[in-house]
Amino acid sequence: MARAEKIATSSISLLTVGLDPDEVRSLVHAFEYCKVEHIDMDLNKLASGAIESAADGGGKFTPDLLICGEPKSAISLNEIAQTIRMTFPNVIMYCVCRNRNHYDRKQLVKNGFNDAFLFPMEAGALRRTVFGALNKLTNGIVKAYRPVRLADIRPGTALPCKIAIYLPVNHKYVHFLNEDVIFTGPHLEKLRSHRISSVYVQSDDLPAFYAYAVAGTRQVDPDAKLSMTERRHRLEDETRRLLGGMFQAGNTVSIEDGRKTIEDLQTAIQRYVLDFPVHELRFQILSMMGEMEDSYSHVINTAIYGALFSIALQFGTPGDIALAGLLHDIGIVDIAERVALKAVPEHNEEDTALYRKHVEATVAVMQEHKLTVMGPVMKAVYQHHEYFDSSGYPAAMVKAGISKDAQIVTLADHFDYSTRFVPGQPVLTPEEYLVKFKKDMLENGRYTPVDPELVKKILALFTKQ
Amino acid sequence: MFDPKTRVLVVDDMTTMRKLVMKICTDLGLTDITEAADGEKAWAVINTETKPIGLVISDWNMPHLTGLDLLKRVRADARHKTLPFLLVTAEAEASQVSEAVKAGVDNYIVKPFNAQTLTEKLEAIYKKRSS
Repeated sequence: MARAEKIATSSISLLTVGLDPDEVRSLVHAFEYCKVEHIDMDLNKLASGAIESAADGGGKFTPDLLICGEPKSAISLNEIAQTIRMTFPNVIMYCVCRNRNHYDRKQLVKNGFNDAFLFPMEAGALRRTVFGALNKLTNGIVKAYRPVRLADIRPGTALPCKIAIYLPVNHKYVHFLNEDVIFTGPHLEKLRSHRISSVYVQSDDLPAFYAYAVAGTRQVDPDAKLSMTERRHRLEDETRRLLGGMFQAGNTVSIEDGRKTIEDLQTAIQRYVLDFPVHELRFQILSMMGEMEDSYSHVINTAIYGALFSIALQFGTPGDIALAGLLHDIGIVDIAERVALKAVPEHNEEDTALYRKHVEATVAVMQEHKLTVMGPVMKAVYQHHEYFDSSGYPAAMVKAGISKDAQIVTLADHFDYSTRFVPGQPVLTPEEYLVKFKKDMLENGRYTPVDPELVKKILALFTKQ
Repeated sequence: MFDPKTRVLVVDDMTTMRKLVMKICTDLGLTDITEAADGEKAWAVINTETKPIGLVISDWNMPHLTGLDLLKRVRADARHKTLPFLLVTAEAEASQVSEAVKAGVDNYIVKPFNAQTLTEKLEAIYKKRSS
């Protein structure tokens, strides 16, 4: 089948190597638009060029897109990358690693993959990247979207591009408004009434949206360099580059490598988290809330909420809290995917025991990769599941031993989990969440993760403004 | 360019890669291609073939005897010291190429590569040898 015909029917030839096709479909919903042909890893077959397409009546199979899992044999992923690239010079090919010892993104890309993803951390990044690739391969028939903050869209202005809303239950993007339409107060109210804090624009439209958004930001703050949306996107990209990238050096990582990663994270925090007018605190928190868009969303949200809470309450150190927020869950790479990707309330006893190991795993990963941080940051990372009533883990510490920074990270961690979209559960506003949180702690006698006084103060922050 | 009848020895421990390189050589018009799965086996082929090997295309990183060690052994042997030798390296090994140059490699190619790059490398070797 000629490529032009494939594009006309939106049918993309996908070759998965070492992955089950159902698994691939579950990873990337974009594949419901595609013809999926699957072969298991058989490199000799690849080299002979004898892959035949059943759909093409036995004609030679040339994939448009290829997703490769980890080898079952001793062959290295780099050798597989070289082989596949030499067999299919033009295919877009991605690699999925579940073992971080196999994950060296820089090398894998040098050896032929277009990109590599470490699971479970980077499942969302793969999804977004594949949507982008399919968008190009189908000449725009498959749409690639990225969320933009509703706070960056000003009522009374003409939209620079089409905007869509996302229906997370069935993974659909639904058109909301066309470009050049005036975005009105009622539009905003309608979205807010559905507790939507971000809408979606097509990836190709992002530059136009960034320009529109920063122009609006400058009406309030003439010195603003970036809109909220662009700050968020840059932080997401930088977080993946740094946290995913730190595994590249493997066991040979030097103290200098680790120091550079921490410095770069601190620079990103300064630029994209702390550099905003403090008086907009509540607005910033509300604006940053939303659904999980990317694998790194949770750590980024924890970093942002933690820093904002710290500034608002003048409690703890915002920069340290943000750094701990970004680092606090790195150890999840060493937790079995079936547990790591399951919602915590659904964990059984065995899952809970496994999941709880992520705190110590995080510390181990930081040590292994020479991520040397100041004592308060390490404490906040290690203590982010230590609770005020001593019911936490890993050490079941008493409240006097839990640092201020750790309590803020714990609160931000809970805040993010409780205010984002979870299928089948209502989305809580910050006020609703904090009231429930306080009630659970003080009246219902449930566990007490942080000092109740801290929750009262944050609640006051929201209710008095 | 090399005479199509030049006997080419392709050395790689990975069957798939060996077959790929052999296929590219065939596509380039080379008709007499043999293979070996590591440096030791390649050395045996070089010394036992009735028709002399006219070009070696060898992977670097192999068990038993690496491509670099094979090159050193070839260059140290008076019978083969002028045998054209192309070393195939992974990106990670490319930084060590100066060692191969010192050992007398004719050229090297970084994986993954395509037929055009291999042609250019073979032409470069041929020109150098002809000048």
